Amino acid sequence: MLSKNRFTSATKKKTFSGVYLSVLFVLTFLLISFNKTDYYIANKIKHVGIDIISPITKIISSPVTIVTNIGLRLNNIRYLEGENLKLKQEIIRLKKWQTLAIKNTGENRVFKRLLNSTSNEIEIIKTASVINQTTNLYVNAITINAGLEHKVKEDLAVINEKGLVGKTITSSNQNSKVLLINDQNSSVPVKNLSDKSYSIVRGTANGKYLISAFIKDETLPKVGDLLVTSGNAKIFPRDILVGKVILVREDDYLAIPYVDFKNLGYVQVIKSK
Amino acid sequence: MHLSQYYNSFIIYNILLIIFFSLTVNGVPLFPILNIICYSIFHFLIIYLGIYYYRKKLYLIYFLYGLGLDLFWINEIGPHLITFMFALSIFYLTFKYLNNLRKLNIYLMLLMTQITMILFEMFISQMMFGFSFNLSYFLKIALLSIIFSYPIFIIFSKIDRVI
Repeated sequence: MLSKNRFTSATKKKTFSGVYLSVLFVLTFLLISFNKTDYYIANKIKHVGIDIISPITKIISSPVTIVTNIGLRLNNIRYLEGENLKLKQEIIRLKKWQTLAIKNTGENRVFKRLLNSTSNEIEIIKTASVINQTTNLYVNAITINAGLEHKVKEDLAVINEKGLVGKTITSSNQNSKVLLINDQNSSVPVKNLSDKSYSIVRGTANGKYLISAFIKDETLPKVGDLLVTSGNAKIFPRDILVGKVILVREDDYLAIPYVDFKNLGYVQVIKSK
Repeated sequence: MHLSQYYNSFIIYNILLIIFFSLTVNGVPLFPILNIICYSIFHFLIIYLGIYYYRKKLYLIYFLYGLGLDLFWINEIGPHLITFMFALSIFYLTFKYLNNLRKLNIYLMLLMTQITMILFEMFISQMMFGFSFNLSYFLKIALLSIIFSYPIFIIFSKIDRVI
């Protein structure tokens, strides 16, 4: 009787483990095929996954982040005096610019009224903080704490105080993933401020620079030229700073992005008004 | 007796696994190398678990970590998930042959498996999603794996012995 019970229990256990393994493997293939075929389900899985995993990993890795930040702060303190001097000079310089800017803003307003022109100002949808940054061989992206609940959806431009950061690629209720402009798969239509030529830039393999993927009329820029968004793609509003040309080759050029991707704290999700 | 002995270290390895996973997906942008080191150690640890602590529940653990890495590193589902699941099945089929190997040979096998797994992940991500194969990045990971794997292997052996 006892041996019969044992045999039944062992058979049940074997069946259960067989079913369990089969379910996991079937689920693996289903997830992979959904990712390739069913956009809705794949996106739902990604959103839920990121929403669940993100806070947990953030808490677990927070000691390392805190230690890194303390180290960085200590390092900054070492150079405080020198930086203070530099900042004082910068303040004097900026005050002059501020006076000029106030004057120009007033003039601009008057000219716009005279020309009856429409404003190309941008609308800020949400200011969000960066909760996760993924910089690896596959993708350069950040996760921000703003999602569908804050009217942040896919394909919106993301900027910070220095310039263009990227665009939103997926949005869940609370979070959104932003593909940075230094990613190889990103594509930003830009305009050269000096000669108004148009081109498209994307990230380089190491994520440090931007490289031209297409140049309209093959008009190469000069080293030092400034690149701003052209506004040709509906995602990015026009005239947002993108980068500065640092190297011009025979049929392409390299630019350095204005945004420091290593220090992304807060960003703004925007759209054209 | 053996089960209880392994049970504790199994939990410790799982805690380590979640720590390295968190550090891998939560990059420290100022020190990107930390990210790659954690990614490499995470792979080594998951292989070590698969070979020394093989049990059915590892399939679920591999599934969850594979999915998690795919979601955070690639934003697509596939390369890590499929590599992890198949790797564990291969470990199951081959680990009986490993008992006869010496410590150094086992270490070398772990290292080779780790590098091969990362290579497969990169190939699959290229084939499935068109991510370009970055050789310099791969070599960097391979080099870091070689540097860090032996000390990690020694530490793991100590954990196995002590707990």
